Amino acid sequence: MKKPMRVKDFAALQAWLETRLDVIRCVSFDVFDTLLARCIEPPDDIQRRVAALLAEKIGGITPDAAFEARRAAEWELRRAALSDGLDHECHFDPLVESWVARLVGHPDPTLVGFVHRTERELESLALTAKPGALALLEWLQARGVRVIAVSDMYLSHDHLAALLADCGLGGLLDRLYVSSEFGLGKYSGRLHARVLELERQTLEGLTPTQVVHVGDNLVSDMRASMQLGMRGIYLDERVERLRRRRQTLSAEMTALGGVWPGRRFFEVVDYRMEQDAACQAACADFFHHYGAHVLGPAFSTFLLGLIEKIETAKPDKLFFLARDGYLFEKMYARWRELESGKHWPEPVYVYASRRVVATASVAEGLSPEQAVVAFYNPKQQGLLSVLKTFGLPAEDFADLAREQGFADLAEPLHDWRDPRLLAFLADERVQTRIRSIGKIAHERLRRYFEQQGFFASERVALVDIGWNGTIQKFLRDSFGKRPDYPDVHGWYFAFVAAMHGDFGMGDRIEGLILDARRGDSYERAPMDFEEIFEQGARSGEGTTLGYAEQDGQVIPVLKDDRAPDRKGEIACNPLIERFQAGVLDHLEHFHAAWRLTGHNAAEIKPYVLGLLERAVVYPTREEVGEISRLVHTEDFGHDHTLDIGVISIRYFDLLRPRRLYRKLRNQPWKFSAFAHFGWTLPAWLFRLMHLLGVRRRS
Amino acid sequence: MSRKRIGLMLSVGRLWAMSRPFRLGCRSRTPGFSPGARDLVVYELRRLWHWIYERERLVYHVGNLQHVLNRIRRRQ
Repeated sequence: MKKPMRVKDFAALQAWLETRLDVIRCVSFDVFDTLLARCIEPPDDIQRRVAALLAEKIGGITPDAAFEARRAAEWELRRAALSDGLDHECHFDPLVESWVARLVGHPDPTLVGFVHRTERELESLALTAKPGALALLEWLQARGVRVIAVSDMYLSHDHLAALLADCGLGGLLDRLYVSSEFGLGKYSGRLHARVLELERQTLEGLTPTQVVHVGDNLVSDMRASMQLGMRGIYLDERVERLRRRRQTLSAEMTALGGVWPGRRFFEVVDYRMEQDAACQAACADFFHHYGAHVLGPAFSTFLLGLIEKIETAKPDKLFFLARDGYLFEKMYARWRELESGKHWPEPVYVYASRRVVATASVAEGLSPEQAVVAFYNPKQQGLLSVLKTFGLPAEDFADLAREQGFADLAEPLHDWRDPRLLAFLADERVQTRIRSIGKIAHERLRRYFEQQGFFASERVALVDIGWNGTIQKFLRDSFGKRPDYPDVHGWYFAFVAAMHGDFGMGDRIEGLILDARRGDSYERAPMDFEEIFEQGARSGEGTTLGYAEQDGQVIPVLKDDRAPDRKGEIACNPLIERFQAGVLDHLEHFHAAWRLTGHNAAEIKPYVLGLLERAVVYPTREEVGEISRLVHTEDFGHDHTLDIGVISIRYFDLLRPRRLYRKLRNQPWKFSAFAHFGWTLPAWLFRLMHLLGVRRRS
Repeated sequence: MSRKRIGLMLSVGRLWAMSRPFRLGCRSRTPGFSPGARDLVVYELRRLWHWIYERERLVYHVGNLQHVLNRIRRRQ
């Protein structure tokens, strides 16, 4: 017997084969973990997932019971094979038939078909050709060497051939041998012997020494083949083996809950993204990478939460609100394509901004309690902000404001109960003017929403980035008394409930990633840098300023592209598109990982919160530098751009923490100031100080 | 950019360190993204064990040694 041989990768294997091509006539490969790699470990988890999906389809059976039934059916078939004098191999077709019959008590071709489709789909999602495998097979084919694959596998020949074809290796293999078809395994050497016998029919005079078998299993692939005189080569890919072990360990840790299921989930996503050459190439760009690795997990987990909400509440329509609902609508459309077998509510992208619904909400007048929303901005400009927030032209009210003592409309007001403001709002002439503007806006908004089928639906959901649910509130204030006002749910990325609490909506409004009402401080990272999430989700068009009529239809009037803040935004649109391309890339792999693991949004979320905490509180210098290029506009009562840019601080500033805290407190991205230190301790200490401050205030 | 960008996978130790301000500052009652000190140790020890002990490689080297010994024995 020849000396045992091992190679570390396909390149080393090619170099070894190159010097022996004159004697080698056939190269045989193991399939799983040699030519193909799985993104999920252990492989049994795919069978568990199929069992869970089958149990869900049948109903009344737990996933564990379904899996145990499969195990029992498999052992029965394996025992029968041994008693027939074969190896303990079993074939997928009789296995599925026996399994289904055990579960439902009779043969059921529909369920058998379901299992075949599901297992095939999941295996196809899990498998990819190993890096280097494709190139080596092409190289061998070009040199006229016969290439075969031999696998110990319960799947049928056709099933496995289809999987290899899905991975792009189908046309590169001259023949495929599967243990389940022969009832013989590689481990006993009997399958290798049978393969040699059959190969001799094609390659006349083939001797075992002219055959090389390559695989990752020392017994089945190396020792068994060498005992027959073949050259057995052990493919010893240490990194790949450790990756499989690490994933197996992560799978074991998921039972502990907490952060572990999410971490395991994103290991699957990460491996898939690494294997996707197009995604890797695109990720060379910072914005694509950030979209795929930071915003992607957060937005995809939000989408998964949204899908779960849809399945529970079953709304007739989903209204994605312009502008920040733009990316969510695209993601939802893609999810619908990927899960096309199910019934999904129709998505509608509606042009509704806080400004237009705020104007409509004053059709019956503006109260001081309503006006308070204008002051939730450090750059507020007093009465001018109130008027802008509700879409009221300042010039129409300037004379009446002067009468109430407002010398300068833009003077900031630090108390919303300022006597001048209260007197202004109590003035009947002011209210008459407000009502006349509000009624026109109310009528147009009503017609626009009617046109979108809002009032014709029984139950609808508003989907948006969120924060305060202002649009939902103002819609209810404007139309809530109508008898045909639908049951409206608000499902937002984040709900901070700062401006008007939850305005009595209870569970009809929810922030799926962050909901301040839950009081979970771990969720707060999006609140500490809202702008990046708004930027990542927004569309390229300007905000909706109102509505106009055109050919009997109500159409939105968007902010003019010549407005100074729009120019900055338009310049950033290509960067936003790159963010969003990264998010959509991530969604593809996220969906595959979801199909494979079956984890729900609540299980994944703790790890996503960790990813967000890392990105918001501990950014790298590159992240700060690139993200600072974005222009963020504030358009609710304030038409200005917000600098995401960085305040520079020094080590000396760390010695005066209170002063530093005050300096950074109103910055949109306070933690970016620490990125240039190059280590995370300053940011860690500031985070601690910040959380202590938050606790004191609450 | 020569430095590798931070990707999807955060080490368990990093998650634990990031969760400390929440424990110290907010006395958060939910586990959030904290892996828990005990689970962190369990995970890291098992990972270290996987890294050190590789049965496949060990079996290969034992097999190789047996082959060499057989050859020496045959020569004698």
